[in-house]
Amino acid sequence: MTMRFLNAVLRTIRNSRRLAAGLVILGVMVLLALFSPLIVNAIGGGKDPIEVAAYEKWLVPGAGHLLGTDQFGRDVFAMVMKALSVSLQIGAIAGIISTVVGVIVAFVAGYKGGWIDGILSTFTGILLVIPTFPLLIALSAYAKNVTLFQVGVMISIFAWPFAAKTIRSQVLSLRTRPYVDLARVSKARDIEIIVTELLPNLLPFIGVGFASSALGAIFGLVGLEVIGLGPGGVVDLGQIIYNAITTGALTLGAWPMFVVPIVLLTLLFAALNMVNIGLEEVYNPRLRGVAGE
Amino acid sequence: MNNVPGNVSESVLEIKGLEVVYSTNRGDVKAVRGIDLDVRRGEILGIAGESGSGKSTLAVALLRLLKAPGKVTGGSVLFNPAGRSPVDLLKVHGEELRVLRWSALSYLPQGSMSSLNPVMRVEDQFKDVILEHAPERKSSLHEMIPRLLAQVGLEPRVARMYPHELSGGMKQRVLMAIAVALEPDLVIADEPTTALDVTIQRVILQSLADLRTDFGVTLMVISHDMGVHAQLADRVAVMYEGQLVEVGDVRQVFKDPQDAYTRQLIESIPKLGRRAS
Amino acid sequence: MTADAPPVVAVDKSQDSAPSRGVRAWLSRHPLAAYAIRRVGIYFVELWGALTIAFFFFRLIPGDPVQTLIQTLQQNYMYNQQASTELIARYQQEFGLTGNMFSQYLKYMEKLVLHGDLGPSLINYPTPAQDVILRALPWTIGLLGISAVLSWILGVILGAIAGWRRGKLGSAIATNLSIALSHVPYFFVALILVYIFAYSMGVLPARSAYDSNISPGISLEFIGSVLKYGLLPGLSIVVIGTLSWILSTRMLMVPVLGEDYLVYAEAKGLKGWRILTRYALRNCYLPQITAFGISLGFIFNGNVLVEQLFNYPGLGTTLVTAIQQLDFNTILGVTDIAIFSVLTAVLLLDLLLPLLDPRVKYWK
Ligand SMILES: Nc1ncnc2c1ncn2[C@@H]1O[C@H](COP(=O)(O)OP(=O)(O)OP(=O)(O)O)[C@@H](O)[C@H]1O
Ligand SMILES: [Mg+2]
Repeated sequence: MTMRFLNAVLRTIRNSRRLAAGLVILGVMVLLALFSPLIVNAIGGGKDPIEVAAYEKWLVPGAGHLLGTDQFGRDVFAMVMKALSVSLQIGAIAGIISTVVGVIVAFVAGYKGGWIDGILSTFTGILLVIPTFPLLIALSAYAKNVTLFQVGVMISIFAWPFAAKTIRSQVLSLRTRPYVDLARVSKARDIEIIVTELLPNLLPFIGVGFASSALGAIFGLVGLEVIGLGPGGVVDLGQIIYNAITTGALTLGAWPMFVVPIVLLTLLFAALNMVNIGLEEVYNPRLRGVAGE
Repeated sequence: MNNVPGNVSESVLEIKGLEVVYSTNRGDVKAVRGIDLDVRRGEILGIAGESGSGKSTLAVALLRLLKAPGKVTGGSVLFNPAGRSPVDLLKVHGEELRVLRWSALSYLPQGSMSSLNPVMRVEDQFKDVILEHAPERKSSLHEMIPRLLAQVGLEPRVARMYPHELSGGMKQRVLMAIAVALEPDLVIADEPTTALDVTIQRVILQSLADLRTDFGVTLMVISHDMGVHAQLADRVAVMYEGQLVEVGDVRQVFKDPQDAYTRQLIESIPKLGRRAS
Repeated sequence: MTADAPPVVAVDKSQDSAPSRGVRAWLSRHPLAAYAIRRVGIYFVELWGALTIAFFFFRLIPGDPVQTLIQTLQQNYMYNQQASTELIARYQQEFGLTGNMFSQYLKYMEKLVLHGDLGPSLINYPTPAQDVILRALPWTIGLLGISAVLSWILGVILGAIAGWRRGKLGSAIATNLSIALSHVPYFFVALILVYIFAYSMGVLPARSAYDSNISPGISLEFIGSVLKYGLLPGLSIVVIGTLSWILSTRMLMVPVLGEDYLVYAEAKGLKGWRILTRYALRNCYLPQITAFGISLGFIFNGNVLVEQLFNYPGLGTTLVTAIQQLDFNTILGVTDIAIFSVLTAVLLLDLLLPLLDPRVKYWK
């Protein structure tokens, strides 16, 4: 069972170079994040490299400090490593929450149909069309000292519609397939049909939903951070960019402080998008090769 | 107008050793394997054969519309348009090929239901091809389009309609009218009656026959239905698995099929058997 | 979308038979009108829903504008005694905070719909929030509107060409670049552009919307200054915006290229450019019109950061200033305006679509 599943996954990945590339980049970043405590330690060589005044201020990049130091004399490389791990965690937390909510909403809406679908889809549609960033920043104004998990929850409030929309349209198309009808005729319980028939067929789209809501979540948090409204107590890559702007790193020429986080986030967005498009290409024959080389 | 004596050769098309291969990931499919065939000026040549025998592949190869993974792997196709020098259709490229299209060589596609541009009015789909190849006719367009539509039994108001407002048979007839708009030397019609009901089929066949009489075009009509060939064609060529198994005068072929496969094809149409006798 | 459309039937009743009366019959004879009425109905439902979501969202998160106002006034020495209960009551009245949440909601909606009144702002007390917002609105409409339209046009054209020339190097580069960058915040590009053009080269301004030495007005000088100051923020939106339109257009284009009518156009011997524009592009830009409307909210989100970085005097900057001072009337007002503009734009585009696309069915 698990073997079959793994084989299917491997075959999928082998079929799409884009999906594979996205996963590899993601994997490398996750590894970096997992080992970030070790990396930070190694940089510190005994002391904490991101402590205030650990080193001299504004050191230029060099052998000792790959990316130099900031206005408080902290090692930028160590900070970036730690922040990367935070950004990824936020993405994962918000991605999972959004996907779960999205799947539930999509199933209820797409499977039940009728007026329930009407209301839920209109609601999802509204949230997707209206600008939700003002709502997010209003919310963040009250998130001064929150845990990483709370930030994840907060961001998911605005990220789940991405997942719900993708998955709903798939539920709709699967609902009409013969085997689902068959299950219905044989009076299987809805929940049984969902778990045994629908869910397995939806895995790739759940993957797409996860990737796009994780993307939306990281995007949202970075947005909050770079205008200085990020939740306190959480240092992600966006926060480093914000520090770079407010401390005048731009004018001082301390480009690593904002270029490196930007490059890392860009890579992350690119990887998630590649996973998205790769998955869609593999499972939607009409799209196959559409975004291709 | 087709009978310009002297510089016009007897054959419009001389196909020699044509081979087409589709390379798929399950190996190469030889869809056309070494076909030799002449199309005579002014005739209606039927191409018969069961589904998958390579009829459409032959057509698109001749029209140079073959798309990957299809590839012409051999042969030559000499095309003799009236008033132009003969060319090997497999060797012309770019501009040279483009100017041959429609004014000399036109096409009535299979599955014509989706061959019209859904967001353009019918008249505009006449206009663009006419103006492209015969810009001097610009001033006569207003009478030309209704005349062409009338030729295939359609009212002038059809010109102002969009494809989705037409029935299948109407679309088919619009395509026929477009195909002969520039009085080409050769029209290749792929399954012109398939998927239409019997009454419309008869109308379409009648219009096709009229086109030859009125415009003097040479027609190559592809159909898996031997009945169509019996009603329409002068000669018929039977294809089987990418090869020609029999070519001959249509009455001759029906009366005395030389090939076992041809006989099978004819016999598979009981209604036709009655008519032929 | 959701509401059941009247079961409109195609028109084939002969004119001589007794003319059918009633609304349904009329609608069935005017499918376009039926479509428009239904679409406008949906618009009002969506608008009402979105404004309601926004209102309750703001009322449910903690925060007391009156307390904030009094603190602000105290800080500015405009008011130095302890706030009396009377005063607090007066402010509560003024900010519409009396009564239960539902009556607050009714009063807010009534003032908004009937008088366009959003209540007093805090960042500029006692100027009403709608005046603060209306002052900022033209800047955002100018910056965001022009950049969004420009990216759409560029992206659709380039995306169509990328699809057309698929398999070629240029197309591959454009496609992969789009995949990599289409989800990057505009802000990142803005930051890089500012670093290069404003700080390193010093050729373009990095702050504000026009040269403060020039008095605003309809003068060539002022307009030139606005364009010059708008270049970097606009460019950051256009760069990323174009890339994402390239990707989605290309995805629409490639299936169209496999359609029978494209092969037919080739068989007709039309020129390549003509096939691209009249056959391929015309069949795939229409869905992008709807997509444009839907993308506006997203563009607005990204635009907030860009405005803030450039200190551009638009809605985004107003929003951030307001949030820093917990000025709820203004934040909610900006949200309402943004919701209204986006939904209205989507409505107008949807109403325009049947005029552009002959295939759109008005009845279903
Ligand atoms: N794009 C393609 N890729 C691979 N094989 C193809 C492709 N198109 C056609 N073939 C193969 O080439 C052979 C000939 O197909 P073709 O379409 O020419 O048949 P046909 O005689 O026109 O049939 P029909 O009467 O059904 O239209 C078939 O075996 C078919 O499977
Ligand atoms: Mg065929």
